[in-house]
Amino acid sequence: MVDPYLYIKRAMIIVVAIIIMGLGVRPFLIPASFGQYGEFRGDHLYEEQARDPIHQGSDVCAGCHDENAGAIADGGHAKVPCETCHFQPYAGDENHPNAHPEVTNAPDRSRDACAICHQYLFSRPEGFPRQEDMALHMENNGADPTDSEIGCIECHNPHSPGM
Amino acid sequence: MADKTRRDIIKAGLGGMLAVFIPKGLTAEESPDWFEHYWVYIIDINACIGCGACVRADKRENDVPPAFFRTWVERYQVTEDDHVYVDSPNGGKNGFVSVDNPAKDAKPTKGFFVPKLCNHCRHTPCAQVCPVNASYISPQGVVLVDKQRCIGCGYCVQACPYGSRYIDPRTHTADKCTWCFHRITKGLQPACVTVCPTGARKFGDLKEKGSEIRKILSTALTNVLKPELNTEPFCFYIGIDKAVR
Repeated sequence: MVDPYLYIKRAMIIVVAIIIMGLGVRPFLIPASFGQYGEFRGDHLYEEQARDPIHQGSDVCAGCHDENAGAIADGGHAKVPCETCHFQPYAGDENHPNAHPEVTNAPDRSRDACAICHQYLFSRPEGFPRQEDMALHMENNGADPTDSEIGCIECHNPHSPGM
Repeated sequence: MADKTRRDIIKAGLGGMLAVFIPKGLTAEESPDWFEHYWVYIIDINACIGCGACVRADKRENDVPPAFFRTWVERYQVTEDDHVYVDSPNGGKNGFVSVDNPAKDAKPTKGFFVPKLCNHCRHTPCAQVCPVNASYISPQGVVLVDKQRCIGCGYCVQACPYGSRYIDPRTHTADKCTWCFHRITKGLQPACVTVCPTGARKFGDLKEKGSEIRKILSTALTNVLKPELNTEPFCFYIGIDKAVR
């Protein structure tokens, strides 16, 4: 007589085989550092940490560039970090701390570079200094606002603004 | 064998069984110094002038593809009859001077700029929905994406209530603000904080007693974005208005 449980037994053998195979493959699919610090791959923390910073901060600039230090400290831009306006990483020197070839913006000397902070906008906070309509300011001081060649830096020193 | 009692064998067996349940992290060798921080981010709405220096710095520092943003600046203008105008042309990357003002003829009665970035929530929906544990909250309180594990399903992008995630078109994996994890672990500030000319963006360590960030949190009136969602963000805003969404 045929075993009434034959087919169930065969099915169970297949199921058990799949479970054993799964358990056998599992260690190779889970990264070694998974669960080291929590439910994620622990090595990723170190990979993310290992990237090199591009911006260096004003202290690093001041370590070599003292030519404008006095003017900056006395002027209205004393608290403005260097890298807000300067991002000139190469400047011909590959050993410069900012020497990342992918970013080579020269500092913007146009009027727009000043306007980005100092042109009057309704949404700007009221206490912010020297907010005005630039065209009006130029007219009042005898300059032609339609001439885009005239830069703010012809009258104002960007390191120590104020007249 | 003779010197081992039954009690010894039971003890060893129980110990071995318990050892299975001890997480690996507790037995690992000593962690580096940068584990000893718990970061928090503060944005002062009253100081932001909407220059977009943070957006430009972020693009340089993290090589963010065009038309995607890890941080961006929104301009809010509210009229007397409570109509809110919001715009963020190119994420505020080139400032707001040379762009059209949507509220030009509406005579707004109050206006302000709101810089936005990943809020690094403690109960973050993005890590909850990630099917492969690629999104996670690091022990330092930073929400990170493991690009090696990410399968690019985009579930986290949909789950984030702040819209701070995107799928990187080059790698087809999720990406987002990391608070410049590679900088803060080396003692630097995030790139956006480094270049902010007015100090509207502040960043610091909650574990450091007497730090500026702790002083602000204990004295200033702060709020988070969308507090009703209980995501418990770790980006705090000073002077935020009800119009901000």
